[in-house]
Amino acid sequence: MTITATGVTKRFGSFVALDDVSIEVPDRSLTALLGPSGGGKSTLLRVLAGLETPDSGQVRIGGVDLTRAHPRERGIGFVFQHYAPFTHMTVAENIAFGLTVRRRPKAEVSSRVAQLIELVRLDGLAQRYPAQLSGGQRQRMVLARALAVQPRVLLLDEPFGALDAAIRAELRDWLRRLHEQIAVTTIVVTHDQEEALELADQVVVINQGRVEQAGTPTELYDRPASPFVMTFIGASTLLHGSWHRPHDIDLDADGQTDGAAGTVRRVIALPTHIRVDVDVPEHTDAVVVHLPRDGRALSALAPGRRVRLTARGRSGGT
Amino acid sequence: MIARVGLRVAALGYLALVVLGPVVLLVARTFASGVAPVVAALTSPDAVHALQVSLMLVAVAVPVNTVFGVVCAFVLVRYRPPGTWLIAALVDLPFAVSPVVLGLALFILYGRTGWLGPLLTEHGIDVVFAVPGMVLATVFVSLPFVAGEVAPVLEEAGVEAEQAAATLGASGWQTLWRITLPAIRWGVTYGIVLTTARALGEFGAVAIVSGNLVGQTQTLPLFVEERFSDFDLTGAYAAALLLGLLAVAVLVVLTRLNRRAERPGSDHPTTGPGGEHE
Repeated sequence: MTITATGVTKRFGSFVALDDVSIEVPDRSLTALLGPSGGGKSTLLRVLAGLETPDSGQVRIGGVDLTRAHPRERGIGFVFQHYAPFTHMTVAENIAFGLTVRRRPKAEVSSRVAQLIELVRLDGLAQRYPAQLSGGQRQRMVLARALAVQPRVLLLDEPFGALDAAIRAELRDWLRRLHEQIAVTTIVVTHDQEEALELADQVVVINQGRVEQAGTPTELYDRPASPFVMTFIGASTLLHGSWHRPHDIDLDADGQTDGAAGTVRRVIALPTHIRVDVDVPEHTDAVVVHLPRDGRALSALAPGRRVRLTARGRSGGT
Repeated sequence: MIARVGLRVAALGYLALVVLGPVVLLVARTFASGVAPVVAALTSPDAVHALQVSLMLVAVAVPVNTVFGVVCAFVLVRYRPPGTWLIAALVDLPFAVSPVVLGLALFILYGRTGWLGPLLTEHGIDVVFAVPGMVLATVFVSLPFVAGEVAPVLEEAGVEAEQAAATLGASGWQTLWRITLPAIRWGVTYGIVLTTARALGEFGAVAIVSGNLVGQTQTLPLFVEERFSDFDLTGAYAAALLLGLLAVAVLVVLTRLNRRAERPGSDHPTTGPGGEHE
């Protein structure tokens, strides 16, 4: 189902959490709402779910205006940041909840629960309680619980926020595959740009209650619409008042060209590229340059060497 | 090590001195001349009637205050209306006010010469020296317990599980019965235990408004006091022991009921070694 929010504004007292926000989420896409914490992305997700009512604006799911509809009337599945498991129920009872409150026949409920347990790979844990599960298992349990009612839309609030890095990466890949499998329109809130870029077809960058930019990960990286997007997504460096990607800066080790003159401060060989920090007069921070990893650059560059820098191609404005 | 043992001895010693000692003495004295006098004292018509009156007060005060307490905790924790602090203070008032003061207040309001008393008497309703006054007094003194126990548990439980239930299609009632009440079950249980104990044991307020009419408005604590004043020590001890046993019985029964409803790990989440990771 296509989800649209039009001109949504939400205030908490004098704090403006969402300021005239409009987004469009294509049917069956996996969209990430990305931004710093406190920027309004979780509030937007909660407005879409009906857990918050906007002060103005409209929410449509599948073309139907659901701005004032109760959460249970929206056909959504919502996964909370801290999972919100039903602690007094087993894994199976948690997953079955949405079906039992709809008074579905017992046989249907148990076969659907069995199916979902397999889908989220919790086999053998059906009779456990949430307290007896690991963080990643709890996460998958509440995902199965949300999927049990066959939502038209799946909303996930920082789904991997409370997990450590290795499990995060694993669950991210798994969620991506799951999304391909079940093809339900999905929105994920995250503050982790790497997560957003790797996971989503479409990323909406939200900052200070406004949409900074929406687009594919490639669009956001290659054509950032504002210095904020430029600096928030991927590496960036400031040269002569403009933001650039560090690999978009040419470094002339012989100092012959007429680029900005500078002095190498340090050279770091990383697995994927070489990072060179260059001190340029009138720049507070060193200009960062990424060079491809071939021995030549390393041997020629040493701290103290005078070089010249030239920005190539696009820049992210001032 | 020595410090720890010392602390333990001090704590247990204090408990023995203040709690265990008197109880043991009471039991010993009660049965000093055998079981027969105790049975006789407890089966006397006045004792049986006093027990019935006390249980009747419990039967009214506990359900009333349980419903009120749960609703009140909800309002205080979830809705925070303007004047929440005032509501909270009023709910706690019975803790602060001496029961005797309350008894006198009820007397002033509902007594023969009180503000409302004559009006009610005209319509055939006696409050003071009758059951309604005793019920009012008992409900008042046992009011804060359920609200006081439930509010922090409700606060702790948070709203996310309820919101999750709503997104899964649960109605308000379904969420209340299946999610919220199970989450606050222990708070309600302890609230009920404390309310029952208070309602059973209330003396001061009930002593004033009941008039302590033997075989009519005499509760079990009043019976104990009357036996004691009349030098019927066996009767007093026996009734006092019965009061104590009733309170313990309520505690045991409710804990058992809850244990049966409880499932492992549900209320005391424990994260075992490595439990946070796969």
